[in-house]
Amino acid sequence: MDNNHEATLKYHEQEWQIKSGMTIRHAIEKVGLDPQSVLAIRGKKLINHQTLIEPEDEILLVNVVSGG
Amino acid sequence: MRCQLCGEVAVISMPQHRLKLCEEHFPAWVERRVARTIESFRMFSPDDRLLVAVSGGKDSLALWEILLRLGYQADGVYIHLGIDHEGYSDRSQSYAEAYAETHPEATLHVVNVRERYGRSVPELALEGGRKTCSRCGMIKRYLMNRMAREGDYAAIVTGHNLDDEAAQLLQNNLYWLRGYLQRQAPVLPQTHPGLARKAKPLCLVAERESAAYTLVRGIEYIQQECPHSVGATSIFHKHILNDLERRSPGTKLQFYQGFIRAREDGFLAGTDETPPLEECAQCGQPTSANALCAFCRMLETEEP
Repeated sequence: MDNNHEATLKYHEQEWQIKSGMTIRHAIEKVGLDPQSVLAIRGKKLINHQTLIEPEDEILLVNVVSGG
Repeated sequence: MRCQLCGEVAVISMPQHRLKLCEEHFPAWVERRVARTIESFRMFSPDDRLLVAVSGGKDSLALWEILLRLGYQADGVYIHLGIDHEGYSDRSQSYAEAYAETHPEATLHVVNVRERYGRSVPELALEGGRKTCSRCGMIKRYLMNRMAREGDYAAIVTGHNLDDEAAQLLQNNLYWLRGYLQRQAPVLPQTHPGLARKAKPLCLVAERESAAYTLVRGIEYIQQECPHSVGATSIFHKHILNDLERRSPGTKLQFYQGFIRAREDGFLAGTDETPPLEECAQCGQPTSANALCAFCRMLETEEP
């Protein structure tokens, strides 16, 4: 497989390699997270969940559900 | 996905409002929504001095930013609880202080529980055989009210968002906690000269909107969760509500706003279980107990 077509998804201590070309929402669901519960950041910028993932993207997922 | 106001790339979609907005129009929309919430619930007036309960997290820092942008005189209070797990309290304080340093028009008051009372909140909870979160809530309410009173602030404002309120409402309904239902409101008026008014200006802002706001405005906040909130029922209830929201956008808003309207229409009339308030014999703070308030009783019975 050509790794250049992959992107990285990070959430807390976890990291996944995912195929580019899918939407952020699809990727979030694919790794078993709830799209309602996370926001996605690319290059320090908030991006919407319909954004298509580009090859070699590094996407950070931020949890939005707090307790207390 | 494009912003419905300008056609630029949208940063967020809010199906419950049928709205997609860009990084310029989204924060402005949140600020207008909060301004309208403050006005419609008559939370406080433009001349009031406000005390923001700042935890270093997304909601309280978003709220502080919004209030300052709206032109309110809003100072902050950070309560250092002495939660040492992975430096949680120290790290939270550093985020609150970093924000305050960039906003010289506002003051951040810091109250360190261990320095002032000799023990941390988890230690006080352990000594009293109480749950940490329950003890923590009582201590924070006491200290915030005391700070508001001593600093002559008109109101304490907290960063409770729509998801917090909907989850609390679900909990209160599941167990029919009538007293809690009676006291769950966007604004709690001053019912005693020593008790500060309390308001929740983010009560109609969803948690993901609050988090998105801090990210778009470039506000750094602590993303680490309080170690004592792991497995909290409120988080479980939030996930249930998010499931409902996914199936039917707007459910959380309808649930909460429907309750508020019913409350205003007298749905809970006659259920007020709040006993009359007296002044604590030791500290003078309002209390429903005889003689000493819960905070002073805790200190008296849990000497180090």
